[in-house]
Amino acid sequence: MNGLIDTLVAPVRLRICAFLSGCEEADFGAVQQYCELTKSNLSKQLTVLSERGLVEIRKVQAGRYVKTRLRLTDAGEQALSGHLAALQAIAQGAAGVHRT
Amino acid sequence: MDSNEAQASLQAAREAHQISAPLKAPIGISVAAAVAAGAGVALGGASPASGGIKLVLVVVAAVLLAVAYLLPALHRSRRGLHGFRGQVRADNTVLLICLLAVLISGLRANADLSKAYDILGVLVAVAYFALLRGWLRSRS
Repeated sequence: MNGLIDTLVAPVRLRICAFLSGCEEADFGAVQQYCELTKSNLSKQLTVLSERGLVEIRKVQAGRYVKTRLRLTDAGEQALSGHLAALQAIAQGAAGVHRT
Repeated sequence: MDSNEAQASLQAAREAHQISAPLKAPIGISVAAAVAAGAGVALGGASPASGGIKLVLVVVAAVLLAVAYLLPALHRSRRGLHGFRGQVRADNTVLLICLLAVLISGLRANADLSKAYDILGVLVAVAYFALLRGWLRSRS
């Protein structure tokens, strides 16, 4: 075990969570634009993150439109922090190379 | 996962965080916000003869400081990023406490201190402009 979180080993899911770690909430469109993903691809990744309890998805009324807002949960924040620490350890050669 | 992959993942995560976390703004908004912040600080330390005028100046200073914060925050919100967390949120809290301290100290400013507040206003404007342009990075 080297502390890596399975869900976050996928680079795109790591980028989504890292992006969300900078703000309280982000619009679906902002994440999609940054990660350069199609709507369906981002939705799939968010479904995985949401099922694991790392990201919360909610709909908000913005004028005439309904927007999808994304938020990194407390569990997501902890998982990201642990994953980054494990990556740091691996990068410094202080941890094993086994995948969890 | 080897150390190169780990390094690449860390770099990608840092970049993603640096895009969403800071209070950055385009040049027009940065200039307007920096001027508002500097003017707010300078006005907060002004020492007019009349107490009534002083009160008005303090209120205007508070409004200018609020504008200085809200302009880039609204721009960020229009980009789809709402609120802050982590180190940036902590930095914002410290900034707010500093500005409150400056405003409260300015209530008793005399003519000499008023000049110091003018200089402080210029320094605040320059520093805030640098912050909004991303030249000053907060720890994250």
